[in-house]
Amino acid sequence: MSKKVQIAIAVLFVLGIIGAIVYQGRETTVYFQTPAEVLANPKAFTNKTIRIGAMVAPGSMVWDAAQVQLRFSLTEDGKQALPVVFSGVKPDMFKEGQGAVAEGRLGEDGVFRADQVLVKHSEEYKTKAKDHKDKAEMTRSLVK
Amino acid sequence: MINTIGYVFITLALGVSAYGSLAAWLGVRRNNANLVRSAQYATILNFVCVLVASGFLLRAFLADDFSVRFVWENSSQDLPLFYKVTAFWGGMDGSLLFWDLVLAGYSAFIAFRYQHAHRDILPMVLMVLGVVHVFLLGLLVSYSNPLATLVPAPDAGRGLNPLLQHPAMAMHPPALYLGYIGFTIPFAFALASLIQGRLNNDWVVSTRRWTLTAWYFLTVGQMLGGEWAYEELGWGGYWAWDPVENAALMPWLTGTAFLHSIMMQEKRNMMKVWNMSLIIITFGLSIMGTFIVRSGVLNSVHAFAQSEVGPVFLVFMAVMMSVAFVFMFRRMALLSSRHTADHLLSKESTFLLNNLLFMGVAFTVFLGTVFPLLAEAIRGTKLSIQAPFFNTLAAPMGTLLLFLIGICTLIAWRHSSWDFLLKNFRLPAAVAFVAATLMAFMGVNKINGLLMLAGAVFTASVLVMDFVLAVRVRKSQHQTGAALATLNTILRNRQRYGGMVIHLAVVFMFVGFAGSYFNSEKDMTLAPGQSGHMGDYTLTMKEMLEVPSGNATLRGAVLEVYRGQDRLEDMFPAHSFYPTRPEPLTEVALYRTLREDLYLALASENPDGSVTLKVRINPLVMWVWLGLPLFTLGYMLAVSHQPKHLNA
Repeated sequence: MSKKVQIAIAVLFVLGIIGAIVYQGRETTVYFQTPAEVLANPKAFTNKTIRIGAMVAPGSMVWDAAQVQLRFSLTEDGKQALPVVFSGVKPDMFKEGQGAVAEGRLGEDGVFRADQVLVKHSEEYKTKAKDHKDKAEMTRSLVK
Repeated sequence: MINTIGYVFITLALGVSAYGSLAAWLGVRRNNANLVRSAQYATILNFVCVLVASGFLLRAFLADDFSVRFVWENSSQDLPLFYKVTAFWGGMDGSLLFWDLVLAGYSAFIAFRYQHAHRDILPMVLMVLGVVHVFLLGLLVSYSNPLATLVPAPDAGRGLNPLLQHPAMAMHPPALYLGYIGFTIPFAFALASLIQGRLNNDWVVSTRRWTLTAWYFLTVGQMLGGEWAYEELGWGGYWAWDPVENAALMPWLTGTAFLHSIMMQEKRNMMKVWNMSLIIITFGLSIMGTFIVRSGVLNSVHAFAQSEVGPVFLVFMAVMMSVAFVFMFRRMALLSSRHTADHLLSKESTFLLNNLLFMGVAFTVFLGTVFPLLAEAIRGTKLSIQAPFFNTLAAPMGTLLLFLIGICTLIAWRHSSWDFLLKNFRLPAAVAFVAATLMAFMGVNKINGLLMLAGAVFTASVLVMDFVLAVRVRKSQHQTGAALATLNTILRNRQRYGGMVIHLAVVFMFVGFAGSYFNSEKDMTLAPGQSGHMGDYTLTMKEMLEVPSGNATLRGAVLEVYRGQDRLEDMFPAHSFYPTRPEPLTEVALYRTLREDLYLALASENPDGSVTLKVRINPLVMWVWLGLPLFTLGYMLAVSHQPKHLNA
């Protein structure tokens, strides 16, 4: 087997892998959106998997233990809130007024159906009092 | 005061290693044996200094000296002794010191162990190692002094993060570090050979055991991390393709490719440029791993303390890799190899394919990990690449690699014939086919899982068949009994059978991976006395219970568990409350068998007295962990083999 044939096989193989990566990348990449972006143009986001990173609106959390269902709203500024329903258990450290990421699809009814709810928990357990000085900053750090 | 002395020793070590590096370099340039000799002694002095400094940090932990900021951050008075010791690497500053301590030990060992066998390249090896020391010690002196003090000293420490108070997690970071550090040694030898232009195969042969050791610890480190995540995080799995996990996986993948391709250089004098590139990349990825973990640039559930040292690591990595590649291109003429793979059906081909697959997976992981970062930097869009991307790409490549283990074991160097292959693979292929058919009828209905299991059966039968044949040959040649023949077969060729045991471990792990295609999950809320069903299991909630455990309190639900008609032991999924931490942690309850794990995590305790549980059945997970003792056995066999032509 000549060196040229070997190189040709290797190149084809590498191209195959790159092709698969690009194809899979397009299929599986999930974009982050803010609640405001989704609320402004809900039609653009219906039935498309997206991630919403924002703060859990205070007073919005309802935990239905019997149905194992969690309802809450996500907001950035405290005014525009996107209602979310998640059929699953409440993650540890999931709290109102704290950041969370919901991944799922926006339903026709304007309710976001999450398949996954993530909480970013910090390894640093500093007193949180001063950390909340800027909520937008916190949200940004969260989706990063 | 006392801690300042420790800091002085770190500074001393910095000076000593800077001197050693320079002396080694000048010693070679001026052909001055005394300078080289002094560089050798500098490695010992450096080790002593770092050892003393580490002693000071250890003292601070054991004496609860919270005037040391690092101790205050990572320990507390009530912490069990074991975790006071392991808190040494519970944060970045101590980790770096630990890293440098191990590397200093290695350096001192190398300086004298290889002084005769590698007289020509040793000074440059010491020079390269010295540069790495200067980098690490420079960080310890400036950004991350583990002995920095707080004034006034706090009365109590903040305590080690309870998530980290787990035996697997205590050993997970040092194992990873031993892996990363270990790859520094072959890298230093490779770079030294390039600088000196001594490009025979010596560096490959004498660093084989260092590479193997680094690889082994990196493997163990990742498995312990997975085990910890499985037991401690409560989401039900052991691998999530999280950026921090990927950061450790990438050098492992390229390091594994390297471990295989150096055999081509050893046995067939091929792939010299490739091997050089692989070790440079592996070293670079080891440094990048630290960068990713510590800089917080990537969105990760691990959420480590962020710090300014991230970019410093990136710069160091870029400089070291550039220097190494520049030298490699300058020495290209010396690296040419006469041999190529002569024939498609040869062991050489399977090695090439093995390397392409490992690099394919590494490249996939690399892109999936850094692409979100690039997209944000260039286009300003935030996106996330999750497990499905990695799984759909890595699983088929992994399954191919699994089959390849079996094929490579039997195929001959240089040239094999189809007749030979057909004859040898008839039996394993038939066994795998029958097993796959049976499994398909038994309800193994996911094609990916089925292919993985078929691959595992195929490769396992090849390995067993090959071994049985070797024993039989030995038995007839030496007229010995079966037991003695078995033992001698292994001991006479420890490198080969060490590798084989490691491959068997890989087979076991793939059985576990295949199981993950059949995981099932259900959330249920149970009031006291109420029962729920999942698969064959019936869970009945008995009561809530609160018990002290170490420095924490556990509160959870006691569940009566039946599998079919058999009563199992009661299970206790709980939350643990630590005095120093505001949030409870999940304490998973597990019932483990070879067939499947029953996995219970307490999700919430509800106001009406009921509890909500996350119930999972994870088939075959045990097989993943069974890989660990096999890896250890295989490693010990393979590493005990002394390279023959170079008695160094």
